[in-house]
Amino acid sequence: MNASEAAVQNGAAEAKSAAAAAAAGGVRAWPAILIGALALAIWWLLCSANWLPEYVFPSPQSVARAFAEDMRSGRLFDDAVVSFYRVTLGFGLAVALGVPAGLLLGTRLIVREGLLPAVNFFRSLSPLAWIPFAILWFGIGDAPAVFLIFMASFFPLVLALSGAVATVPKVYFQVGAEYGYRGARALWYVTLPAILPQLITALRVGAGLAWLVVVAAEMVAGREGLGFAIWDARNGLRIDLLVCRMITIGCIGITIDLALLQLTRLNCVRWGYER
Amino acid sequence: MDDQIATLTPDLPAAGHLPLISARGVCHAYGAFPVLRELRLEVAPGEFLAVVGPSGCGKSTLLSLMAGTRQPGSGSLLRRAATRMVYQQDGLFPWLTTAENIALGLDPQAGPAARARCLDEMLELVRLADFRHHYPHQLSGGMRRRVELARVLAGPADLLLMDEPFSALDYQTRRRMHRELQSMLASYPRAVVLVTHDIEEAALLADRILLLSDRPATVRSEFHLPAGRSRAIGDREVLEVVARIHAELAL
Ligand SMILES: Nc1ncnc2c1ncn2[C@@H]1O[C@H](COP(=O)(O)OP(=O)(O)OP(=O)(O)O)[C@@H](O)[C@H]1O
Ligand SMILES: [Mg+2]
Repeated sequence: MNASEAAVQNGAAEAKSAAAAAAAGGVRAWPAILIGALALAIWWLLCSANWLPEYVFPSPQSVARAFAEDMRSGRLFDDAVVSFYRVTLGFGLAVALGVPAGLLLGTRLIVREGLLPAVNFFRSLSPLAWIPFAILWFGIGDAPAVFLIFMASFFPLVLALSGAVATVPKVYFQVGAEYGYRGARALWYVTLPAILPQLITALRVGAGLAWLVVVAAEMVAGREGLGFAIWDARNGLRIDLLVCRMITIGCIGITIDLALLQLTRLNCVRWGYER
Repeated sequence: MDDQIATLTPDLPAAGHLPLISARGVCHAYGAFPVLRELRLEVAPGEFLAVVGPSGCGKSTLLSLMAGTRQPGSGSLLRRAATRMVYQQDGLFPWLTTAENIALGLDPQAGPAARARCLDEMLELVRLADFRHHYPHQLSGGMRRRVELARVLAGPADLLLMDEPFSALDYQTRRRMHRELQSMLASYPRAVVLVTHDIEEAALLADRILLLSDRPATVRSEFHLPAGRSRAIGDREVLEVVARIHAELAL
């Protein structure tokens, strides 16, 4: 009997160390680095073959030169800061309003019945459709971009959260009530931790959307920012700069997601990803 | 602080020899769907009562009435006990560690030092001291059940309501849990109402077994066992009661 007990505990210890390995960054970097190097090599080979002229398909060398130029002038950095600022503001606003709204929709049936169709409606509406209004209402600059980012990320966030809240197992609330968590305390100590894994996933999706939208918004309603920089490079027929700015946008997007991914390493949410 | 102990508060003050629960003519229905009918039962202080009945007959409903989380449709049900529930589904919070889950059950009135001491004691009792910082998903099914038992035993409740606590476990683990429950109750005596499908389990652990009828459930028959909890599965009185229940159910 003691032996089987020990086996049970060993099993748990093993499960734990596997989980720890995954949490400590079980994903290896070299396969991705290898693919990246391979892609770069193919790009370089295609350009060396001289099938297409430089101004249609720039070579890695010219993009690297453009990158150096853009860095030296400080333009790339300034544009990235502007875009990042707009995303932070627009997405921050969406989170600040979307989390309470999602909790409300999830916990109050009547609110859900009343508002879910509207939330679904706006979620299905491409944020780009709001561009005319964004310019009419807010002109050019930070405000229209922030507005568009908000419209893009608020509704999916509300939808994901209300769904998460509505599917929290009933037994958690029974246990919570038994140990004194009612009303606002239940919301804080039961509902919120129970949906935290899904909340983090929704934040990652939302941040990705926000970063997508900022580029589009700046292309039509900006005088600065990475989106405007893309448009500017096109107008100046600087395809090398265009590619360099596209690469920057992609890299910042990956970095934002990696940063949010760190939240999934929190001990109190691991359970949500290990089933 | 008041709602902190809301479910711990009995309807009536405890009075040594009086039954912890007395239910008379209790009926309950979900809408037009009758579940319990004319149910009459008592739970004495310190008693271990097992309730056996077919699936869906209303056993979980009966426990929620005893816990006071549901009011009976008609009839009277008096509670003189503070109760704690072990739920049929996994009732641990997955975002809390073993120690934090058990700490939920600690007496909210006790001081921090007393609470810390009681927590350590409970972790020792269920032999999970090495797993205090583990999360439920890192524990086996049997270990999770032990955490739940520690949580209900940690507090001042004098009646534990257990809803098929071991039914999801494999045979060996279940048998081990039976023995552990017996020894836990020896060190921390509590009255228990155990709902189970397992007739052997009931005969092994309980002082008294109530057999419920099909839904709408009422008490169909009652079996007594000599008091004292260190029975083994092969004991004559256990085998005898199991045989009588089998006969009654025409199995
Ligand atoms: N909240 C509810 N609303 C409506 N009907 C319910 C509810 N809870 C239970 N029931 C019904 O009441 C009956 C009894 O349910 P209960 O959970 O008490 O049965 P049980 O004896 O515990 O069953 P099991 O042994 O399968 O756990 C079932 O038929 C069930 O469908
Ligand atoms: Mg049940």
